[in-house]
Amino acid sequence: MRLFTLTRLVTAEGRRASGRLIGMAGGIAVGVALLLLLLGGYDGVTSRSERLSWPSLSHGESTELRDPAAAAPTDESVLAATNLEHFDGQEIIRVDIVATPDSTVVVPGVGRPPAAGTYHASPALIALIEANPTDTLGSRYGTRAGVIDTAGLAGPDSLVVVTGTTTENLRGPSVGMVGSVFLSGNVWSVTEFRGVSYPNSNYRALTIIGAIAILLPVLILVGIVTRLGAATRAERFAALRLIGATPRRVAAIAATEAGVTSLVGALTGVALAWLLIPVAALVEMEDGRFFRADLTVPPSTVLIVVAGVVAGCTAVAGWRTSRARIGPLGGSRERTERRPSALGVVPLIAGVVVLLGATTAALRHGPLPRTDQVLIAGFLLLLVGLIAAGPVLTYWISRVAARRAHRTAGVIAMNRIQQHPRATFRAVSGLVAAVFLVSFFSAGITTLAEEPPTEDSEYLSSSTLVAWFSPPPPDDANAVASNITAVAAAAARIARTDGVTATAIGSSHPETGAVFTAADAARVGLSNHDSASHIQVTGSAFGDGSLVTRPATAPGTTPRTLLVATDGTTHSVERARTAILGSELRLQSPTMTQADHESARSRTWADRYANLGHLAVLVATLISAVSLAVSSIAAILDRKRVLGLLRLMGMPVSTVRRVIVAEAALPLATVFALCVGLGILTAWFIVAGLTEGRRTINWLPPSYYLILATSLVLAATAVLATFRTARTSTTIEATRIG
Amino acid sequence: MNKVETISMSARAPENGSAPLLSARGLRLAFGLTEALRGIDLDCHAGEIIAVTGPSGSGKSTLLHVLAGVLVPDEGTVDYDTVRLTDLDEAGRSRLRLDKFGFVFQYGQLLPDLNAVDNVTIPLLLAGVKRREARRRADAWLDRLGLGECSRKLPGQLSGGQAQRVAIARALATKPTLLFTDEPTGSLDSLAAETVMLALTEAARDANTAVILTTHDPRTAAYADREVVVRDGQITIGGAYG
Repeated sequence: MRLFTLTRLVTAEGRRASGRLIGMAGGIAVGVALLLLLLGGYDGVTSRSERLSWPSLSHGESTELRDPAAAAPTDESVLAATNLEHFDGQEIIRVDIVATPDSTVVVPGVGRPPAAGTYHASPALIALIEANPTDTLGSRYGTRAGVIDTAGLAGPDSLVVVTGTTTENLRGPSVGMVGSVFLSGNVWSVTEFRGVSYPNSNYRALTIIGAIAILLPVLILVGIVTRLGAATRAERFAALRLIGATPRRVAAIAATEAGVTSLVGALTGVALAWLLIPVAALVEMEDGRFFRADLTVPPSTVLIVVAGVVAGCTAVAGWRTSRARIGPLGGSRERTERRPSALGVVPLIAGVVVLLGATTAALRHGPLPRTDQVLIAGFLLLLVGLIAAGPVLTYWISRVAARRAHRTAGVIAMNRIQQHPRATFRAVSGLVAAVFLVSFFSAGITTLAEEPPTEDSEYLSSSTLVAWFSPPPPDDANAVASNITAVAAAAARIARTDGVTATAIGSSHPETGAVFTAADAARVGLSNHDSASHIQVTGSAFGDGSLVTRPATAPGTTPRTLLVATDGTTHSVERARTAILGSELRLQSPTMTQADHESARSRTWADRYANLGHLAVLVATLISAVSLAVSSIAAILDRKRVLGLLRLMGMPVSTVRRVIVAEAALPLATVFALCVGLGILTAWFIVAGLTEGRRTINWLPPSYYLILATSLVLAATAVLATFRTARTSTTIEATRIG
Repeated sequence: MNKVETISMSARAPENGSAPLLSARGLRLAFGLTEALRGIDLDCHAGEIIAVTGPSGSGKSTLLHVLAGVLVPDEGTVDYDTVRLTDLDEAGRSRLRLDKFGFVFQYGQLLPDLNAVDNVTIPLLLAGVKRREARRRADAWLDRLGLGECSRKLPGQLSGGQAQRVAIARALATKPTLLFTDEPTGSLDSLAAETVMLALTEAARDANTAVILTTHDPRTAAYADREVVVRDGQITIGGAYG
């Protein structure tokens, strides 16, 4: 108890001391809050991946059926198929289930499987159904029997529907990706639906990278705030030593001060995290927004974080004070830092080598085991390497700059940096990391920037639906003939749908591929090549490649494709899609327009990458700006007596301000270009490495330069914020009372 | 309360009868209810060395700060040459301090990250001298004060006496006409204190720089031409030496 009383008397008396402790506690609170949110986010992504991935069916207790028509459900198993549907550019996961009335199979978020003709939908999908005419969406599913609860949904924005159906009407499966979930494209017999954490290791890699990107500035901030007012504190401890306190007692007081302050900060951080959960839940990451419960960290984790932070701060404070060897005659002489070794650049070079090696191997040899983990390791090594190399580079540059400085501020600042390259660089290290991350994520995001196809005659209109369907067995002549009739009938019915302007049936031909009649081709906007009766169409209906049309030598034999042109309005497109989905066509893959395809493509992993990147950059930059301000203030406070004396001698306060600016600008400028270059290069390494070269990066968008400028403005603001302290802390009182 | 005998001191009029370099009249300054200065008159002539002595809390340092234009008195005037210091604004007083005055203090005088010669160059750079020339002059001053071999050392590598002599070199480098020093030997042992005072007074006399120093050490005060004793914010005893 005496130790606490002594600590309070020594460290917490006075407004200035209180301000220092509040600053420390505040920094720790922000750090702990972000750490808890990060942990919550990581857990949340994992658990919701499990909820998101159950519709892919292959993860549970299930068997893929070779002949679905011959299968039947039992009380212990259901038949299920998952399809991907679209509505106005949004993706809907549809799980069709055939179950017995007494089925014991539990559908996540639903419970007992819905009866045939009824459906359970997610709240977001119900809202969408209710906001649109029934014939554009609602009529696809039958009668609503209930709502899917959170156990079956990734997040509040999930569009999921579970429909009950019969074996005869079990929809043809489709293949595709919804977010990070791969739809396997078959009918399954399922006894237990189950999801998996991280169905795609790329997502886990990116989540970890994002978390590290945010965590690093947080750790830097905590490191900086715990050093606040070190000089003042050293003087107080020296006074204690003078009156007989042992070094051990002084270290104990420092540790107690740090322990109590960090405990207050950590508990405040827990409260802050709790308050921020609703805000954080609004951030779209991975597959949309989070449920609030996803971000809630279990009490045991909170306890571990609080205990860890308090124990860490206490131990470090005690260790630092012991190491400072504060004697009875004052806070000892100025301790200059050990000169940074050139070895500090080794991790940086190693990081580049690892990334280069992993990416080159992936490009040359295709998918390799653990590429994602090697790339994460390379990214980490590079990030840590930048922070480790910063003091070395800063020292080298400051040596040159100190020799060349001609003005007072330059001489003071450059010599300060030369003597304290680590401390000086630490002040901007968060911002350096932020600039690296801005460049990294912005370059990564450019994978989205591929040009969409332009509309011309050799591209399908962006509002034309394309439906692919399964052929009948080729050796069954009757089936082939009836299929032709059935497709034609379906196409005719669909053509009568309000808003549909034309339909065209594409038939396959063993030698030429898809063939349309010239009249049909012309109606849906493809070239009809005048005299030809049939048009052969090759190329990709969607994506970057245009369709190539040429006169066909013979008509197709088996209908495989239906093109449905619409008047372009959303309702017309969706009404037509609903008509296709409700037809007897045995659809093979999602019925889509070019617009759906573009929308889906933009929501691939790069999209999630972008959201994660923006979040990381925002948080890292803001925290780093705070760190820079705190560091700059601390650097002035530590020298306030001598700077006060110089002001007394007539040095204008503007010179002190210039010193602050120079001390922040030099280390930042030293590694700025390096951060930008390495950030972009790392993005390419990771994008190309994870996709084996299928994707690359592009020119950086204007928003990147805007973000970069914003980071610099924030840095300038952080420095400006210290000007008042520079003025008030270097007055005459500082030279006397100090 | 004991009545304290008050003696208003005037500096010896120099033989040529010139006007004082610095002249203070009727200085009063209170910090809240505490009256730090209670009507002080003081003259200092060019080249004169004055020691202001007195017990702790008597107002020595406050007097020094008012004379240097660091603090503004509640009442009274301070004239430097033909300039009324107490009528100048903060910027004007700062300029005057930079151009005409020098300062040496007891603690924390040197920028810890700058070596001795760079510390001495700072006021020269502030005065607009080019760095190369500033370093040349700084080196010369350090040589003059016997610190030639220490010029590239950091303050942390200097002894207390050496650091104080660097501070003196810095204070005199701009060739001030008036040097204010507050307890210049307060943190030194007697041998170092003697070395510092010898260096200070010799350099000041060579440069014809007047010095006003505060001290409560009689041995330090003995280096002055004249001692002024301050007690309870008033000058109580004065005398001239040498």
